[in-house]
Amino acid sequence: MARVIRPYPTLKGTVALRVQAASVKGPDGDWEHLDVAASADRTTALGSADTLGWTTARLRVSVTVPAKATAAGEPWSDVNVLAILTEGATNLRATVLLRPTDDGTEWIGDLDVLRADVFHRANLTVQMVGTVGGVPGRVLAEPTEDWVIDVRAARPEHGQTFTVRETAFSRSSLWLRNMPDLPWSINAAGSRPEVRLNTDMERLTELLDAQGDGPAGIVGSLLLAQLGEAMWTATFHAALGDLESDEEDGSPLFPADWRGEALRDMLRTVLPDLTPGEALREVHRRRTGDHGWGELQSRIQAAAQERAGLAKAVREAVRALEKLEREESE
Amino acid sequence: MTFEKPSYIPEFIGLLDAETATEQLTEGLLTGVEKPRSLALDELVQPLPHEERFRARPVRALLDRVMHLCRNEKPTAADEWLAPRLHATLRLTRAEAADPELWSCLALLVAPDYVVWRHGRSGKVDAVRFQGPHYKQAFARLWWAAEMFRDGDDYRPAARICRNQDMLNTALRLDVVDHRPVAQAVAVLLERGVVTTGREVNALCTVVNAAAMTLAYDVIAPDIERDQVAVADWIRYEAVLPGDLVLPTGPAESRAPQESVDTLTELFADLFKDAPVRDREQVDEPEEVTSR
Repeated sequence: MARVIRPYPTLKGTVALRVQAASVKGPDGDWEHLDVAASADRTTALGSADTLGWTTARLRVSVTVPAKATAAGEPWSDVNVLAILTEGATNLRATVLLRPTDDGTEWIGDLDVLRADVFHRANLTVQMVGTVGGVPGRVLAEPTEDWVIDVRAARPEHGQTFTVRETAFSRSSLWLRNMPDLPWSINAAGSRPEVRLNTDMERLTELLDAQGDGPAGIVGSLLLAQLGEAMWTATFHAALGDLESDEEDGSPLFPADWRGEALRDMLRTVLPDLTPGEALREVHRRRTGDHGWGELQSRIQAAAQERAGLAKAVREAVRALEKLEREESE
Repeated sequence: MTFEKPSYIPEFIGLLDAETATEQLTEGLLTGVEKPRSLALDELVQPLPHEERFRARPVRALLDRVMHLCRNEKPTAADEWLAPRLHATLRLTRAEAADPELWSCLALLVAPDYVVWRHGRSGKVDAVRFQGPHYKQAFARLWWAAEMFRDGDDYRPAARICRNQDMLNTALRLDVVDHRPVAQAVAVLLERGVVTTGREVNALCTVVNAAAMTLAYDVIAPDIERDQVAVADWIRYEAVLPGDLVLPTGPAESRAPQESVDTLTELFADLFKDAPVRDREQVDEPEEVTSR
């Protein structure tokens, strides 16, 4: 997040945000409570709902703020905490004012959002707002990290989601028709990350669907991780090649869609010492400049591997293979 | 450069994936020499549910009409007429309208000739007019302008925004207009003539955007919750547009609270007074010189 210089006293300390509970309302008006206890990676996955065609989701947002927020003698008054859900693709902005609990360090509220207003992944943040020096509505603090609400994913795997579409390449788009032997094709330029699997290739889809410790499961999970690595490498390059820049100072901007989220996530591995904004400027400079781009490739590869969970997939494949071999020798 | 109407137009609008769309955007197509291969492309369109609202013909009729109405004018004049009518004809949820694949299908299969007519004045159409972000794609920019700047069922503020190309191109990119009272306040300043030229529009948008870093517009000028039922009903009903001279009526949502719009209009006008506008200062300077 870009650091903002504010010409008035602001609240120092950590503002932490989390989604405590989530439920969805079905077409018949019944609410289904979702298990969000496993909200790994600051993501709430609403795709796990059993209710078909749900229309509204309700998120119980909880925010903890430093005790100074509501202490007497501070330079601010009329403190409010506002939860804000936004999505670039739908220009969504849904907000709700939270209520303080007794000691004023925790603020809670329910934010409702319509399914029809979210395309894929919305960003949840909060603003602590108060009157400072007679000016109402001053932003006093924001959380260090936001939260992601994914309306499609069934599991909260931050950024690991891409769609797999099965297609016969021999009857596909003009370009793929000329490459009927490719096992898959990656599309990092679309509205969602997508891999097309060639159904002309026998047993390929079966392998990728296979689970468990059998030979098919081992090959399948390795293939899937490899697909992921290719996907995120391609995404990184595609997103970087297509950056918009700030009209004022010309600095590059994160894309508003899923590519922006993938870039942010991967930049943490590529240039771990820089803030997201600085890291984006740096990679953009290297890509468009004279040198330093080649040197970055191994780091981009590493970030893609990490995001795809390749190390874990290889470890598990080795373990499963050893188990198979033991069983055979017994 | 002109383009004939495609000889084949699909019955329904669907989704055309980015890779296929990109393949079509050859130099020949963008310079108006080649036409899209409609029939071959149609096979690759991923269908949407066959609902009346996804029929291609009403949209096509609208585009034929606007090209006729503006035949003796600059094509930019079409935006103001078309934006509210496109929004009222192609009834979509925001999630549906967020899908670039829908807009690519419209541009490549239903009306490539319109895209060339509207955006091909320089001899070549920028590829983003066929397939691009919502503030650049030929149809998405108009639909979203109508969506973001309508005040409930009133399309007049949206039409006003579309009359000013600088405003349309700049304001639609700003995240702050996602808060409805901000969008309405900007439309009011445009109506009152407080901002007119491209430089003034850019200066206003810059200060409004910058001030949002320190001021929570949602708190000082709150909006009311979206009316889910009104929008869902609107989408379900088939569009019947009034004549060419009357604006259609949008979804029966409540308008943005007047008090919030007033608060922001006043605030933005104040911010704009102190904003640096290139050339504005120079208008004052000669007076100082003569008084010396």
